[in-house]
Amino acid sequence: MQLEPNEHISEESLESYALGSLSEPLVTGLEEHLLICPACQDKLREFDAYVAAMRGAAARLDREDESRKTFWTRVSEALTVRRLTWALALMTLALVVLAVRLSLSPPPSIEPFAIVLETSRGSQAQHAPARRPLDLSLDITALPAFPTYQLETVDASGRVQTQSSSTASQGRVKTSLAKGLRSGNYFIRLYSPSGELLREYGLQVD
Amino acid sequence: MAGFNTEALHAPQETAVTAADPTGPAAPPGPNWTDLVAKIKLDDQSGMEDLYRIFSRGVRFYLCRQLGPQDLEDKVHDTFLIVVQAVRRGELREPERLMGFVRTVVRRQVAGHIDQAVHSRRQQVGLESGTAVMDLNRDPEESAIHQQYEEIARRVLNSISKRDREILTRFYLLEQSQQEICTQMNLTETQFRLLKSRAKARFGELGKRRLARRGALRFA
Repeated sequence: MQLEPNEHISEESLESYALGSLSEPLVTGLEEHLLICPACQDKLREFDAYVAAMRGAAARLDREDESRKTFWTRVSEALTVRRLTWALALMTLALVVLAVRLSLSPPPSIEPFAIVLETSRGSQAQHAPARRPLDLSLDITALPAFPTYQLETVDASGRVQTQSSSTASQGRVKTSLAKGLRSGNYFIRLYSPSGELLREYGLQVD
Repeated sequence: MAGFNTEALHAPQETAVTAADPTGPAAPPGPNWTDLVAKIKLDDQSGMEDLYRIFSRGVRFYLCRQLGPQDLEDKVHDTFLIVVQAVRRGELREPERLMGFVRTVVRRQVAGHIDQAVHSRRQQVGLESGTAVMDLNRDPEESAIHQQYEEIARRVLNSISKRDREILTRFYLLEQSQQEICTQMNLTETQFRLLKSRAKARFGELGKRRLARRGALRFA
């Protein structure tokens, strides 16, 4: 390459030179020109920086691709049809065992909440926690004595929630609400065996 | 990266040389080598000054590019000493070939330094004392700049298609020739050149944007 005065090296040649791929006869003229041309030196410096940056970035991305590929290769190698079948079988078995255990195991034992109801409607209502078994103890002081009593739990709108019968003992009639009640206001009604309403107790479930 | 001139990349395929870029500085006019050599031979101080003025930047650039910044001034000085002494001894028979002669001396200097480094490494193998190796590493500022450039290049490569990225990777990283890439990837030379120039333009554009953002931050 012989450059005339006022000529600069082409970008193509500078790039090839920066990449080290310029043929030797061209290198001679280019390097001679570079020795005396600051503009081409600056351009070559830019090309050097660009080529180094592209090389570095491409190498980094290649390594990242490679490691990603290696990871998926390992995963796919590990997951052969036979191994996958085994893994699925084991997982199914584990799920079955878990389901059986859950179905067989008794529900978590929650201590029933004991409460004595002594008041009637209009008085201050007793409080009980929601969704918890309740052991109710109804005070029957001053009520006629019967061998059994009918019990009914109704919500604030009068819908019947539970019905049961119970005997009196030591001036009280006891009953249990195993499933508990949802939040709201309830009334526990006490009936005689013939169905006569004897008393109503207020209960607020929070 | 603000100085990247991307316009020329969009120009049609050039030959090895291009006419002076009207937007850039003109190439230096060719000095009268015969006069210069004559002055050096006569031990004329102005001849020495001219020689230094014309070649010092280029020699420094070449040596630094090949050998790194360590002891650069000493190497530049040695080179000029060799050139001047050789000219005075009359070893340069064709004065108009001064440029080629300086290049030869610089190349020999580079080869000599590399040879010396290899030789001293070989001699010191097995010795407990560490070998004195040349520091070719960039200084912290240059390292930071390089990292930023690499990050920009990464963004450029991530923003193009997988196929385009492969083309650029083959060219810049695997050093495959343009012809090889075009044949294997079924590309025309124009497509190849266009992809390269677009990537470089994008690189320059992102670099400028980053520079502008930094400037804005600095003056905010």
